[in-house]
Amino acid sequence: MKNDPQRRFYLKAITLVLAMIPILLSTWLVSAHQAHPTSGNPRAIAHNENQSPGFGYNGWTAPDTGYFSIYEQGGMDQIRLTVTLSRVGAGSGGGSYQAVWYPNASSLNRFDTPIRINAGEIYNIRVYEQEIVSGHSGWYESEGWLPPRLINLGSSDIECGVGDHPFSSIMIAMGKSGRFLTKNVFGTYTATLSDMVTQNPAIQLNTATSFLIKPGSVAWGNNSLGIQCWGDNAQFDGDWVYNGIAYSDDIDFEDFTIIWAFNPTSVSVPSVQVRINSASSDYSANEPASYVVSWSSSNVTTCTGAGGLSGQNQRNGQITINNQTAGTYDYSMTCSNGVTAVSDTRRAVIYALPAIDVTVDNSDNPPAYPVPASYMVRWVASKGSVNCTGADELSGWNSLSGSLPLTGVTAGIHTYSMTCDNGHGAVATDSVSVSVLEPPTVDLKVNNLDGPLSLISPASFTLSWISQAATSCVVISAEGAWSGNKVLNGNQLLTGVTTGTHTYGLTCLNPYGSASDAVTVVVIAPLTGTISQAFSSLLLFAPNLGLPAQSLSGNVSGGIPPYSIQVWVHKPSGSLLSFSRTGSNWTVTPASSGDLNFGTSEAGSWTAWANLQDSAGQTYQTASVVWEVAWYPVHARP
Amino acid sequence: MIPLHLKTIQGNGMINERKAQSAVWGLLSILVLVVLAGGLVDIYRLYAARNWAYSVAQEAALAGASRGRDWNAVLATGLIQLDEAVASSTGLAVITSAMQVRGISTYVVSIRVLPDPFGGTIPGFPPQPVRLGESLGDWSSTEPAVGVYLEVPLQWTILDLFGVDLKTVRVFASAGVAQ
Repeated sequence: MKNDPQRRFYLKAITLVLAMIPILLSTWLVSAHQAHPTSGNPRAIAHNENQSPGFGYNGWTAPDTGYFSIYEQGGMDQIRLTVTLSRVGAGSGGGSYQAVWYPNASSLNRFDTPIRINAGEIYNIRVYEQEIVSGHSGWYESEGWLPPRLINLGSSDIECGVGDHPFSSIMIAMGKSGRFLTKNVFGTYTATLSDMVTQNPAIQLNTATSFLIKPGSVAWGNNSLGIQCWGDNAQFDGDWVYNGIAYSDDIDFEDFTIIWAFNPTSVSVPSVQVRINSASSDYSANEPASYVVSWSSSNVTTCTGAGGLSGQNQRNGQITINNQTAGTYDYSMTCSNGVTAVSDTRRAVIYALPAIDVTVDNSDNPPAYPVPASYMVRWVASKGSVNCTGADELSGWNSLSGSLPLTGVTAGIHTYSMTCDNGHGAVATDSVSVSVLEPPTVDLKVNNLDGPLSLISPASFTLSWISQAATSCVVISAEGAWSGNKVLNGNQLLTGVTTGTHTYGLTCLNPYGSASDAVTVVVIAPLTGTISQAFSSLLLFAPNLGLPAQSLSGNVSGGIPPYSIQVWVHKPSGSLLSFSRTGSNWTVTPASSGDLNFGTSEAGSWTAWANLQDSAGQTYQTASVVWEVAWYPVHARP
Repeated sequence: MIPLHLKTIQGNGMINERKAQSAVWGLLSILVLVVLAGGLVDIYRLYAARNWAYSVAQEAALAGASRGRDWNAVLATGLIQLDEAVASSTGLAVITSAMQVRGISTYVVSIRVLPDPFGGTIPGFPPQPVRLGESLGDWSSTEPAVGVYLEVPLQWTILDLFGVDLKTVRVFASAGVAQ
């Protein structure tokens, strides 16, 4: 049975299925591996499509008080690190640290961080790395780790990737050759312990392992072991996809080994700190921004600035940035003590100010429109605008740009306002007002009447006018003091206007039309009249002598025709005669009076006058005329 | 000349003498009476002639003043005045007519007119003193007036036998127009 082909077939099938499980598992585990070279600022480890798992260990209880340190073996030129110890529970230890480490320049292969750990405090540890391998120029991300496989600690054999290692299964599942590497990192392990003992007299060799970040309950070979076998290289083919692009590299766990431990004593850790406006945090502001970038270092011999600090090589200093426009600005300073390079970077994010432009028919100052108006309101936010809110007649609109065609807009002043902000406190507002005008109207009155108005000379009257939608008013048919430009609404007193027909006109205009109104004032002379007699002396019953009787005549002027005239004749006897006449010129003759002896029928003084009245009710009594009627008798003289 | 008609008285003896004496005396008386009567007649005739002449002159003056009123002046000036020509001719016509009726062909008449509304004065008028009428010499008036001076010859019946030399009656009359 053991050699039964069918059995072998089943065994192979089972083996294949079992092999697929770790392959799938490892695929999931290492899917974050990104062999894509990274470059640039070491401030942050680039984790692209899938974040590298890095080194992670949760719940580590610090056995003593000291500083977090890293031991490395494996021919790295540079390692840039992001180390974070998140304290669980109360305490003061922990923190995060970034730096570039030059392991080849370190005889101890040890990198000390300033992250404080205190005995008894519990931390969650996370470390990400990128490396430049000796002989290579690019950065390679440390794609992950696998625990070493303890072969024989006593025999000085701690190997990475040895035996039935899952990585080998992954490679096989991918159709590659199995990768059974035999990197004995025992030397690194023992060098680490020796260093710890050497550098820290309080540590004895038999207690040194306790300072490894490995819980005592964890056996060698456990994933939680502080000894990490890292892989990063592209020496071997592999199939890794990033953003749909296949990269030809894979991981190699034989390159180096890192041992996480800590240094229980104070160390002269090189440090550099970049501050913006004295704050050790990134900075943000609205443009134009002015701020001070300062840096200070300690335990370093050289410093080199980058980004906004390019050209700066002092170990301490500051620069002042004035009126900086929008953008993201990194200020990095890398300092080194010859072995360890530390770097700090502050980022200044300068937000663009919001801008908004509201136009009407593409104009910020649209002309006035006649009713009904049609126009297009547009608004476009730009630069740093993030949110926009309409106001006035754009209330309800909140898009960053838009257009609003309007038709049939009624008369008035229409305002379209939009306010935008950049999300960081800066606000910009634009507003456009449109005047929709009706053709102007004007109403000119004289003494609050439309006229024509008749007045007695010398006349005084008030011209008043009210215009609507007009932009200017000017006198037409100027006369006397009524001339020139006039206010849109007003009144003017005219005095001493002489007789005649006076027309006062006013035209009011706006860009879309004009309107005129005029009033007529007829200034007339006061009602007056005359009366006269044909004879001042008459003979009694003169017609009987062939002589004329009296005739009266008169005229009427001024006032408002037609006139009515009442002629009164006072006889010497005291009785009155009355005659009604009309017209501007009137007569009372013997024929028209019905008395051929008119004015001669009694001797004595006759008196006549006329009472005049015009159509306006104005009255006037003429002076009286007197004539004497006598007989002139003849008598013998003695 | 005005003719005078005398009547003859006749008587008888002693009776006629006496009667004659008586007749003489009577005659004388009669003569005296006749003379007296003649004188009276002449006086009467003088008086009558004067009155007549005056009445004629007065009538002529009134007629002249009346007809001579210038009405147009009244109309024109309010004052009455006389049309001198009309007043004179009208007065003269009255005189002429009266003389013709009496058969007097010889007479003197002078008609003067003060036409102005307020009269005036005509020196030396009437030309002769008159017994009737005003103004002996310088006739004046304060109103328009017509003055008529008339001389009429008178023939005595008796008085001329006694050397009474009065043969002309002179009268003056005037009439005015009241203003």
